[in-house]
Order: sequence, then structure tokens, then C-alpha cells
Amino acid sequence: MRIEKAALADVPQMHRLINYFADRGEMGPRSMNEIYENIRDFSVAKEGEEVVGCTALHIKGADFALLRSGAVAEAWQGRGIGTALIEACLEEARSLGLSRIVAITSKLPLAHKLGFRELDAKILLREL
Amino acid sequence: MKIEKAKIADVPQMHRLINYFADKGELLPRSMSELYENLRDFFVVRDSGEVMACGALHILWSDLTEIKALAVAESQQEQGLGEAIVQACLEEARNIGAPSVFCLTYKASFFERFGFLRIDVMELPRKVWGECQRCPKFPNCDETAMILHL
Repeated sequence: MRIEKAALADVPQMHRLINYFADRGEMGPRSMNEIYENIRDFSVAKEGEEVVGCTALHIKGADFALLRSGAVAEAWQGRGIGTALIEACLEEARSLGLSRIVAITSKLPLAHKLGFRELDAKILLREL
Repeated sequence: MKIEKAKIADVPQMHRLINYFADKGELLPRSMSELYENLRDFFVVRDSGEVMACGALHILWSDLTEIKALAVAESQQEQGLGEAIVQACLEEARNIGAPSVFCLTYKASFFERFGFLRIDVMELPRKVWGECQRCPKFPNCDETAMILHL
């Protein structure tokens, strides 16, 4: 399994993966068009040519980027792939010079483990 | 001269550089917010921390990739900065798996040097007009549409 920046050929699989979880109400849906236009946001976890996970770092401003569209195929969960994807995004954020990353998640223990702390949703809504 | 991917701290200078040429009608204007949201499309050339040139490779679809917002500070032109940015964009396009790259430009002879061919803009899907609608010249575009097959 390797983590890399997404390539054009990965998009159909990323689209399927994200919308599988979106259909179950676990995350927001993404159109194919949205994924292509924001492909630079995405890191993917690949096993051979198969995309088994993806996560996006979407920059909104000088000190504000969103971590979003994180998904790991069910058969591949519980192996640290999500953590590795998020760490790759955080590393990229640091190298770009970003100072603050925001995530909206139901996976609080994972977020805490990665160093995130809780934020008042009202503050976030104002910035979004 | 070093070509690098743009960083957050480059955005205010990229914004100034692009909009200097936009004010002259040579490029589409870009907001700061657009530059932040598409930061990773951009390459820059810096000299002592100052952005001398920038340019972007934007993906629109699996077979639709565009070079845009290419700008070189007037005092730095004719030194190969623009050429180096286009080369970096083309290399990145190959790496990401783009089959071709198109552009809409007033500098057709510059892009011909890289092998870009002049095409009728109507040969490109209408999707490429996504941001043209905010151009004051739209729909009477006087730029040249060009494409390079990789």
C-alpha cells in the first residue's frame, strides 16, 4: 500500500469510494466534476492500481484549510490507512505554509490522536 | 532561476502580478480567494523571496487540462521565465496523466515554440468557457485557442 497524490486515472475510483459512504449519510457526496477540478487536493492510498482510500486538503485562505472527503474502503479499514492519509495531508499543509487545518468529523478519538482539538461550530460556520 | 510550486505566502504577490496584466486586458482577473483555493495549480519563480513569474495548470476533466494565469513581471521578461513555467506545467500534466493541454492566449507564437497547435475554440467543449463568462469580452473572444497533445 502506498500514499501518493491523486492522478487523473484515479478519479472514477475516488468518486465511487466517496459516494459509497455519502449514500450511507456518512459524508458529503462529490460529483466527478468537483473531484477533477480539485484533484490537487487529494492524496490516495493505492494497492496496485486499486484506490483503497482518499483524503482531500482544501485550502480556503491564508490560515484556513479543510480536511475533507476522507474515505477508506471497508475491506481496508482498521489498518491505519486513514491516519496515514491524514498525516500526508498535514505534511503537505505544513510545507505549503498553512497554519490551521479544520475538519468536520464524527471520528473524535482519531482527530484527538492526530492533534486536532474541538472548535465551536458557530465560529466555523462564520468562516465557511 | 528556480521553478517551485507556489506556497501560501506567495499568494498576495501572485495576485498583484496577475491583476497587473488583467488591468491591461491581457489576462483574466483572479481574486485572492481563487488563488488560495487553487494554490496547487501554480508554479512560481522567486528572486530573493519576490515572485517574478507565475503560471497554473488547471484540471477540468479527465481529458481537459489548461495552462492559465501565466504572468512574468515586465522587468523580468525575455529571460526564459515564462518558458520555464510552461515546461514545468507540461511535465506535471504528463505526470498526472493528462492526454493534452490547451490554452487561450494572446501569445500564440510563444506557445507554438512548445508544439501547441492553433485550433478553432469551438473544437473545445463548452466547459472551458466556465470562467470566460466573467470576461468583459465574452462571447467575442479574441484570444487564440491552442492545444498540445502529450
